[in-house]
Amino acid sequence: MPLLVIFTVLMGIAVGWSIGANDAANSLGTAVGSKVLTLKQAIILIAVFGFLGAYLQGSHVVKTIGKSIVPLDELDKTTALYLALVSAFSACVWVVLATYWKMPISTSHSIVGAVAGSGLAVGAPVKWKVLGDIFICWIATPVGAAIIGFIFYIIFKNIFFRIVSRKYADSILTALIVISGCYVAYSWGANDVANSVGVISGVGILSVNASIMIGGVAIVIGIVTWGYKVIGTIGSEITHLLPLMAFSAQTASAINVHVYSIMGIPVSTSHSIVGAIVGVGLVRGVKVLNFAIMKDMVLCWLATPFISGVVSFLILKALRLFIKM
Amino acid sequence: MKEMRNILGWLGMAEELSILKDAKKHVEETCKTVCSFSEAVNAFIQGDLNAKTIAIENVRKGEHEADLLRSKMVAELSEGLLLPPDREDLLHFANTLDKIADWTNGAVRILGFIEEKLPESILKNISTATEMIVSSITKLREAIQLFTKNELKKALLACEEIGRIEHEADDQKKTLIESIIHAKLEPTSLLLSFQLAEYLEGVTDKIEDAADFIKILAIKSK
Repeated sequence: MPLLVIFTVLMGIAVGWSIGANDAANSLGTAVGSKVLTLKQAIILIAVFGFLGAYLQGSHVVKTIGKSIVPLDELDKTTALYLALVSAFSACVWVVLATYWKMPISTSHSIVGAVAGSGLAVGAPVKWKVLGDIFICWIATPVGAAIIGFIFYIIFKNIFFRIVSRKYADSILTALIVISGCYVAYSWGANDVANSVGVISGVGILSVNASIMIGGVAIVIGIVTWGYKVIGTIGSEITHLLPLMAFSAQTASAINVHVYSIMGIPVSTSHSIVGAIVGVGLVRGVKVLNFAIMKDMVLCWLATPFISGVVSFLILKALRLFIKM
Repeated sequence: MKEMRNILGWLGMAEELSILKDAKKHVEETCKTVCSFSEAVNAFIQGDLNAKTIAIENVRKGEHEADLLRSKMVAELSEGLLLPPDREDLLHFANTLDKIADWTNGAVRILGFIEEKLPESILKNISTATEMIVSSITKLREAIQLFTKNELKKALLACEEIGRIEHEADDQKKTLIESIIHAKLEPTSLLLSFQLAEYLEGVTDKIEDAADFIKILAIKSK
């Protein structure tokens, strides 16, 4: 039993590390690219605000992943532990494979699929209504962010230079980019920490607060050990947003994810930022994504919950042949 | 960039792949242009004026198609909010690819002006230089295909082969010029033949330049 607990926590930490390593760039990458912040300053801000988001508001989504999809706390203790371990393991395996194959998958989709697959394998009561709601929110995430981004950019573009003197425009824009980037990091922490420790808390290995603390630390380690490389690349080489566009996209994405975090819905922060950039781009008539690229991306998004679900289902089914649950 | 699972990073890399797919199309078009040039040279050697005119026209059309593809690649590289990380190298690569077709078109234009039947020694050397261009562009096509399949080692080997062919083309240019000097041609034919020799060697140079950019991209993506 203690070994099961240790492995489950380690898997959760691995998922948390991966989130920190890969997704940290979504918040302050633009600020680093436009030399508003140094890489070191950006890492510190992302780590602080990501951790704050996780600690202050991460519990809503943690509860959804730990208890609302499959009520882990109502299952037999051993079964629940195996379910948690296999869910975290399957999500982790799929994240590692996706990283190897360079696929843009979402850890939120991965863990939700894995928990549902594990639940089905042990005959636990999977709450399809909750899953249905989550699925609708997944579709609404990029669409909503695009709409908010579109509206924000129209508003800011039209009012910013009317109310702000040219003399102060640059410094105000700099401040706005940093503030909105910190908000993205906060909402990201609040939503994504559950992907790493939702099952740990759900099965009762640790309290919600303790598991969030562990998840938050894992994410911070991911940012510091690997995330900096991605932040540098994204900021200086890939994203080319004007300051007002960056601010609009970041604010839209952060609000979007924050609302879902309060509702306790695990959504993809990556989908949100891409949606927001598309929305902002639409105002300027810039085609952000071409059809072929979009098709590959959507396929990855759709495949992730099914693949992680099938992996966890098969692993648990196989385990049941050898272990009594 | 190999570790990239971040969505924005992935989008940048997807844009890069999309450009490389266009580069593949571009090199196919350039290959066709070079093949038409080879046909024009053969027709010129055999004295088939009609076939020469058709082949020259095909080279012109091929060059135009390649030019359109380059414009598309340049537009994709400069427009948008999420751009490929190696866009500067890719931009130079697109321009270098286009120069291959440009120089081939230049060579065929000179060929079109030559009306006098040239001595056998010159024709033989022109034919050899043209064969080298065809081998070189075929290797370039192979290198791009290998690069897009992420077979970087093989792509680099193909680029090395292009470099070797370019050295041979340098020597071949010297031989061709020698044969032009010894042929005691009329001033117009002499001038045009000399220009043709420059263009023939220039095409292999441009192919080598494109191969150098593949090397840069391959080394960066290691």
